[in-house]
Amino acid sequence: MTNAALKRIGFALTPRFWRSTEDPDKYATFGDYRPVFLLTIFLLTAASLIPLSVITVLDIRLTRRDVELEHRLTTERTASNAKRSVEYYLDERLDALDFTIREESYENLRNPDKLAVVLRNLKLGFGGISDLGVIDHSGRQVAYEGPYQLTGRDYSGQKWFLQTLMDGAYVSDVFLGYRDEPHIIVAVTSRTSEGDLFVLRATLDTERLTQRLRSFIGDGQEDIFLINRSGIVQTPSARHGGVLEKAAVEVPEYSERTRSFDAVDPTGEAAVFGYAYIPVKAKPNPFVLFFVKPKTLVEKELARVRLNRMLFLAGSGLTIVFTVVLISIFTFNHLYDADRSKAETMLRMEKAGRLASLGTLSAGIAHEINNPLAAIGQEAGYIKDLLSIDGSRPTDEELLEQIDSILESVFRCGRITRQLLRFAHQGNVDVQTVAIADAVSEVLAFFGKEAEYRNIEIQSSVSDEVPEIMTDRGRLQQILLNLVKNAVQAMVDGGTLLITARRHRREIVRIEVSDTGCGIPEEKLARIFEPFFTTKNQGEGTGLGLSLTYAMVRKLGGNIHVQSEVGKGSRFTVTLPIGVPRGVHENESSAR
Amino acid sequence: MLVDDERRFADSLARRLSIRGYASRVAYDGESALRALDEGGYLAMVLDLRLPDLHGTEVLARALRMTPSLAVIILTAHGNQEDERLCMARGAVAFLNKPLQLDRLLELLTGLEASA
Repeated sequence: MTNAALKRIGFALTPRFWRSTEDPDKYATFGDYRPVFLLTIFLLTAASLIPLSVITVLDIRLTRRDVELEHRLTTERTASNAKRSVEYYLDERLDALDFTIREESYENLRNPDKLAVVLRNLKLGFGGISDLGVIDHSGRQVAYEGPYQLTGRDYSGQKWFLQTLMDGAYVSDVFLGYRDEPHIIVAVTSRTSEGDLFVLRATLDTERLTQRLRSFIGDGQEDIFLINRSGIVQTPSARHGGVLEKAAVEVPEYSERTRSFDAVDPTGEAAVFGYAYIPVKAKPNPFVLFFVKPKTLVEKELARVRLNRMLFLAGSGLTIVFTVVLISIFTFNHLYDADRSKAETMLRMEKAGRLASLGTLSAGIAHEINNPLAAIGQEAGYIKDLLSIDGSRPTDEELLEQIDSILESVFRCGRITRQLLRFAHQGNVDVQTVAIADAVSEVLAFFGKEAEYRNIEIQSSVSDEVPEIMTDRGRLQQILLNLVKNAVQAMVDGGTLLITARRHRREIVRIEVSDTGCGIPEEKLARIFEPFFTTKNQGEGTGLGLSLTYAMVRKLGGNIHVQSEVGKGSRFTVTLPIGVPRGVHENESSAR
Repeated sequence: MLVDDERRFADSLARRLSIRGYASRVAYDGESALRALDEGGYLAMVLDLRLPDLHGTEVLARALRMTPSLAVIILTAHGNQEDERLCMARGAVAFLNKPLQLDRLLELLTGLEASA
């Protein structure tokens, strides 16, 4: 974008009053528009942005709650599924052993060959079972099938053996035992044909269980593992301790249902910990399943949502501010223009009022002056009569000259007072149909001789579209006469006088009288219509001609303006209504 | 007959008219003017509109009732078009403004003499 274009935009975005150098006048709505303008923008923006911001913040919070809840539910669901899987895995193997011990007799199971067949079948059917042993009621292992040589081992004092005899079924914690490899023991009991209790014991490797658990991990971030009731890790975890180490989480409070809590994992990551107690058929159910889902994803999702909302907020904020600024500029421009035109009207009215009261006052003075003036005139005339006509006194030329001078002054005063009186007593408007072209040519004819003599070219152009207008013919002629007289007087060394008339808008006629004369200085233009204000030399004009013209134009419901440039000439523009002037009744005049 | 409350004006005018061969009588208010008019023998009346007792237009009306042939010339310091229209409608022969140009009055008087 070019500099000029930027400047233009800047110009368009500056309210008009901002550039104004005028002092605010008394008719302005605000003494100073700027603070009001800025306050308007501020309030409108705040009123729209504050609720929007609040909603955005609330929305972000609500979204956070939703996302967190969703995250928690997912975690719990996964933990629950994993729990069921582990539960099923253990129960299935317990059931297999239970089935075996009921199906096969004690004698069969004691037979190592038979036991080998049973183990093979179990491995084929279920898997995960690495050896089998048969222990009699005294605790001695009477048969064993598996990778170790454990026949004849005595378990009589061992806790798990006593527990099995007591409960009829047993599932152990993960432990290393003689084999130095983590494993789980499951055992079930039955009775021999003699009625003695005996135990069928199997070893489960934890590898299968671990794989089962791993299948629940969706991505690398999550962790799933078992602990026992003492808080020892049972299956490998990614971050919460190795097998048979103390787990990095506390053993949670017992609950039948899957539960979850928020905590920080060992790497310092906030995470949701879902856990479930695994209810295997054997007592005590030794395992607690943990599924740990870090909140990184939640935070990522939330960051995305936050960015999203913030962008939306910024976008709408900008739009709002832009709109508010535009509307404010538009409104204030209108207000400013309205104020200005109001001020202009008021000032014009004040001026008109001042002119009117000046006129009334002047007329009052004129009344009082005319009588003594008339007396002076007659007395001076009488003295002149005595000197010139009577013949009884010697003629004194010097005295006669002085008396003539007095008489001349008296009549000049008389002219002034007459005009003043006319200014005050304007009488009624005598409305009739007037063709402007006729009025113009009549007035021009009046000046034809003088114009020729003074080398002034007169041009007139009355457009054909100018209709006849309803106005006071005498006053219109007087107006034109005054303007033409002024124009002629302004052109000392000849020039061109131009009168044009054309239709301006539907109901208005515009008459212009322009000359190529001396022009009027700008500082005098403003006062040109004031009574007694004259640009002519002392004694040449009364200073009432244009104020009378002004008053007459106003009386006819019109307006008069002047444009002028010193040395180039002046142009007076009179606009008159085509119809009957407002405030004048047609029948009022025709009745006379 | 000169009717005007401005005594010095009326007196000077009377003297100037007598120099020019017109005999005149001066009245300073409306009632005395009408009384004097009753004596008869007047060709014209120069009448001011603002008089101390009566308004000029009333004097005009009453004077014309008494002497219909009388030529009444209005001479006023307050002349405006309204007054002029009114007086002419009531039968005045002319409407002059102060300060008076004596020549205008003399012209009128000469004209009246000729038509009389």
